[in-house]
Amino acid sequence: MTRNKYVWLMAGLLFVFWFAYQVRVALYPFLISVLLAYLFKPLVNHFTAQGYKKWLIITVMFLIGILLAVELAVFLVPRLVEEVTIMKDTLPSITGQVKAFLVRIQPSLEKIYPPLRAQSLPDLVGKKLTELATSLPAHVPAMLGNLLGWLYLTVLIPFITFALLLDADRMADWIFSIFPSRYTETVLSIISEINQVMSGFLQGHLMRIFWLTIITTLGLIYFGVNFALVFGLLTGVFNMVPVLGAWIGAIPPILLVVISGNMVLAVKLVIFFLLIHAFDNTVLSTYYLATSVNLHFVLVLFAIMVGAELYGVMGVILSVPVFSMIKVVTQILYHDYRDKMRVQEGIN
Amino acid sequence: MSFKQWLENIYLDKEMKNKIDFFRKINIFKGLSNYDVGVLVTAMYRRTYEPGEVICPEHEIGKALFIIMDGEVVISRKAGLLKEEKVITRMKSGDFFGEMSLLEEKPRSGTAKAMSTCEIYIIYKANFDGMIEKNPRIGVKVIRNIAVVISARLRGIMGQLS
Repeated sequence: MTRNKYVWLMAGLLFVFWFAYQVRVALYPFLISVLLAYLFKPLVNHFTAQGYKKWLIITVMFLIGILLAVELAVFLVPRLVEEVTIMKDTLPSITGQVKAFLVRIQPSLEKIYPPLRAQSLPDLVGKKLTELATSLPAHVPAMLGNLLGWLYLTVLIPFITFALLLDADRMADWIFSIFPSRYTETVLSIISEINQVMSGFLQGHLMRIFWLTIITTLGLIYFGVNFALVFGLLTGVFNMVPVLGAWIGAIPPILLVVISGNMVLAVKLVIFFLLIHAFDNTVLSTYYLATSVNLHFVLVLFAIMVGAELYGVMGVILSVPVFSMIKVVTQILYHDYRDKMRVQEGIN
Repeated sequence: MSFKQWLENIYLDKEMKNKIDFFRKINIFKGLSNYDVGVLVTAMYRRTYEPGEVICPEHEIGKALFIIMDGEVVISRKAGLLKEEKVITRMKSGDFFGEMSLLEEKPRSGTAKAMSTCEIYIIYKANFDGMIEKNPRIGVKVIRNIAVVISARLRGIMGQLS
């Protein structure tokens, strides 16, 4: 590839990203399907290698998946509804506790930051909490009644995932066929490396989130924290955000305990979350994410911010693997170009 | 047709079975079980080359192993002062080239060109390395087989020289 062709290729990639941004809303079901396809591909490959028909493997997997989802929903939903109802009922008393707590600490805070004297923190935070308490239940029916969301979830996403799992190999063959034969090895390395980054990250990340959610929920139940199930699941959701998620997830249960005045339990929880964080860094992340992502911490933060700005929640979740992919593709193209230049110099 | 055969027609993938049977006969996959070969097949990509198309040019860094499923490929290299193209060997269905790329990424020693319409399966080095890490048992057998192939080729060259 000459220098001009590399420039054209990079320009083409930039156009693809620009186009993906322009049609981002329509892309959501496809993105979710791609994620699911990456998650299930190893399982499909395992049974394909044993000689079973692919459509049959995927159908059985989908049926088992639906059964498990229903079982999980039957187990979790009533408990979650119960906790959320209690939470909603106790929110006014929590608001009162927060106000009392803020009244206690406002003089100390004013000494540190004098402009706070201008406004009453308890009133401000109390108003926000009351707004939250009234707006959340009002939003739930709208969220559940979102027809498009349900259509995506029950029809479009499973259908696209099925098609992707069934025809992923043919798609790769098609990609090879549209490039001139002399670029086969470059295209091969790009496809393979992207697959490796995406599947490694998603499978690793999912396993890490699964264990963190289980450990956190069990820990919160053991310590007798109210709404342990909701906070445990919230930790799992927050942990989808790389690096920052683990810290953000720890805040709500600790804050609730601090506000209720049980400082001994609060200290225990801080230690518990620090231990979980250490376990995550030394065992879970090392085991599940070691080979998939190789980005500097600052670049990870930058990726998360860019992802959040462009694609919202989906962008936050996908930011790190997408940045890793961009890094890998750039490296391949650069090494390819450098190797060809060296070989050319060697021949001349 | 017996009930067992009828049932097998429903759940067994004949195309995959044929592929596994084909690859098991290839030297570098000798000694592997059906499942092991199946695992390797799922990590392969397929590409069709038209007659005259260059599959991999001489001097370019090799990153993959190529296995000919169908068609004829000629391997040549530029030799002499005039750098004339000299045919080294012709390959057909079941033959493979680029096996050194699975061991190290170095410039290729010859050009591979399709002489007829060729269907070729390709294994990328990094995928192969990843598979060895996950299944060292498969890796040891394949690498041993590659060593045997290279050794045989070396003996052939030594024989020609003497």
